Amino acid sequence: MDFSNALLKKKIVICVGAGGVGKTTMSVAIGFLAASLGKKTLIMTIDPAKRLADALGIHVGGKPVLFEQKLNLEQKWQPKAPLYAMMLDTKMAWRDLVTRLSSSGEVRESIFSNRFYKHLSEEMAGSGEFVACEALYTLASESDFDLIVLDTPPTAQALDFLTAPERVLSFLDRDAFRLFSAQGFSFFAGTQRILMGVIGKFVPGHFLQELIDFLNIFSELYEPLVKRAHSFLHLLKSQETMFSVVVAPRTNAIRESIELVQALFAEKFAVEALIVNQVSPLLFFQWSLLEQREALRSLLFSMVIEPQKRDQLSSALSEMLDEESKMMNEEEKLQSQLQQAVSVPLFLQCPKIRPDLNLSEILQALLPRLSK
Amino acid sequence: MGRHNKTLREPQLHFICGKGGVGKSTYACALAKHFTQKKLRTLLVQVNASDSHSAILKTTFIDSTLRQAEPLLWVVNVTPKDSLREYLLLKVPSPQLYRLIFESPLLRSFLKFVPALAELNMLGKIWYHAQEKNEEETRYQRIVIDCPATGHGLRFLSVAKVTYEGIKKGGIAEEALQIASMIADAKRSALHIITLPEEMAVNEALHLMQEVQNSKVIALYMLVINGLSKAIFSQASKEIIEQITASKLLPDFDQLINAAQKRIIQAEAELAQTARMQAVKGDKQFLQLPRLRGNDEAAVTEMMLFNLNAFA
Repeated sequence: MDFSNALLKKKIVICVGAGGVGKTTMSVAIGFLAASLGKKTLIMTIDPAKRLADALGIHVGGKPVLFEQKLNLEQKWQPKAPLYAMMLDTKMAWRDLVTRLSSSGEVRESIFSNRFYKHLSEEMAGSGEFVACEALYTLASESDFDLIVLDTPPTAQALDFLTAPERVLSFLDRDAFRLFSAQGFSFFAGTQRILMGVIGKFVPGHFLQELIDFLNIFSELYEPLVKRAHSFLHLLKSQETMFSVVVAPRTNAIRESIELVQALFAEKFAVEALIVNQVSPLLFFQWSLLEQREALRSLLFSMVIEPQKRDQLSSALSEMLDEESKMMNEEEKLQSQLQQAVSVPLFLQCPKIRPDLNLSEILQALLPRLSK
Repeated sequence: MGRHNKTLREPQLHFICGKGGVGKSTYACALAKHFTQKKLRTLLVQVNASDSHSAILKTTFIDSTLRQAEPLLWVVNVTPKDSLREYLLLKVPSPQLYRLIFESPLLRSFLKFVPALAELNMLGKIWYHAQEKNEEETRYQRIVIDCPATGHGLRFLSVAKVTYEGIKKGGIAEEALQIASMIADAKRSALHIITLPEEMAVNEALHLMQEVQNSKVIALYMLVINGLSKAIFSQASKEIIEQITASKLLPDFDQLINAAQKRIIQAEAELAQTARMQAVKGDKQFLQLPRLRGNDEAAVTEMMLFNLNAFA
């Protein structure tokens, strides 16, 4: 079983991982791999680097854009089916969701103007992930893509992604609604009144009132929101969805991804691929270091160069090889730690990409690695 | 003498901000060690973090109980729950009443809706330690705060200011104002922004700097660019490598030459990103740290500390 085969069986791929591991680039590469296999694919990104966004022809808040550029790639890797990309604006996605679920324009406007809405939609940890899953669910059920690749938002900690729906739902907790809402107030026993008195001492009444107002207006959205959250969680756990954990060979990232994979398994999500990205290029050398050095020496001697410059280059290359091989050893230790800690069906390695490569070059470097 | 003066003028509180994965915790630990080597009593604070400092400092697990890790170094992991408990114990006279409040589901729900209060409480705890005295002397001469990598920029540091402006009246508003004033005072509080020489990371750092300038929540003190790779290839070497590539002399060497090219281009890209930071740094201190890689976080921190000492 290889990654290409796994992709053929899926409708959704979700890339998760800590920030700075190249998750977005990897999501794009996975999308192109799927298209090269003949799947009509959508790549949903959240916060791509400008170069990548420009290369894909997408901008914030846009709808899916058909990728029509000619790529300088081997025929094997060229898209064989339409490929779309989009950049999700989480703020806008929240607005769309509230608009869709609220009964009247009045309700909608009073939600948008409440400061607690701003907190829910912009600042609360997990709210970006929540609405990304929600947008994914809508697209998956209302469009005819064979595959959607979701690049998850950059989180402080990769685990945030998992707890997002739960966090958002508990933020909109039913009990809290009852406790704070106007109807609920009459049920308050004496102790609760004392507590309200204490809170009221620190926080002025209008602040509390605003919160109660928000809960009251939002309560009509609560049921449909919970229903949708359950539906998308169901979709995320179905056979059609595959999680790919992207990680870089660095101590922190490895530690975090071990926790992440374990947590995903515990929640019964299907982690089918572990992609170690940004691996030292030495790992992909076909020759041993000794052979490299020998070959290097004979190359340099075959060229017409001043001896001084030759020595300079020779020692620089040696230094590079030393440094890279040290790094590779460290990386290999980390990778074996990872493999010992978690068992995932597919283990892939991708090289660190030079920052000046264009989209074709990036894909040419990554696709052969991914389809291994 | 000059150095001594500088130490006196230095702020007491050092807030370290940056994205996850840029070496923020390592830098915070190295900075704290740097202060202890200057014979300053230092408190190192993690903010509701999954404790990473103990691995770096090679100490036992660091929780919400403040304790001494080294002769001049104290450590703590500030959590919303414990900060709130301490806060309420100060405010609520009777333990029974306190228990009633703390264990009430209503309070839990309330805090869920107003998480800013939890963050304000954590800042409040830091503020408390900043005031603490021991026999007339300031207990902690330096406090290093490893801020949460929220991806929301200055949110954590702005909480006090935003709370004050939002509610204006009442006990919490007054306390929020005191905390906000402490953070905004350049003589007392310093912001360190740390980033990597990569496009996205620098974008974020520049964005954060813009936010600092606009909001005046805290004064920027130091910019740190971490993880610069060593320049290995001289100009002449670069030219020869280009020559080899252009001539396609020996295709068998592709991988080696590619790796060298990658290094050169990487270094150039890093320089370009460093220049972007340099262009906006103004009169702020700008610290450039080499890439340190390894499994031994304590060793990496030692190396960073060495660089930090050399700088200061």
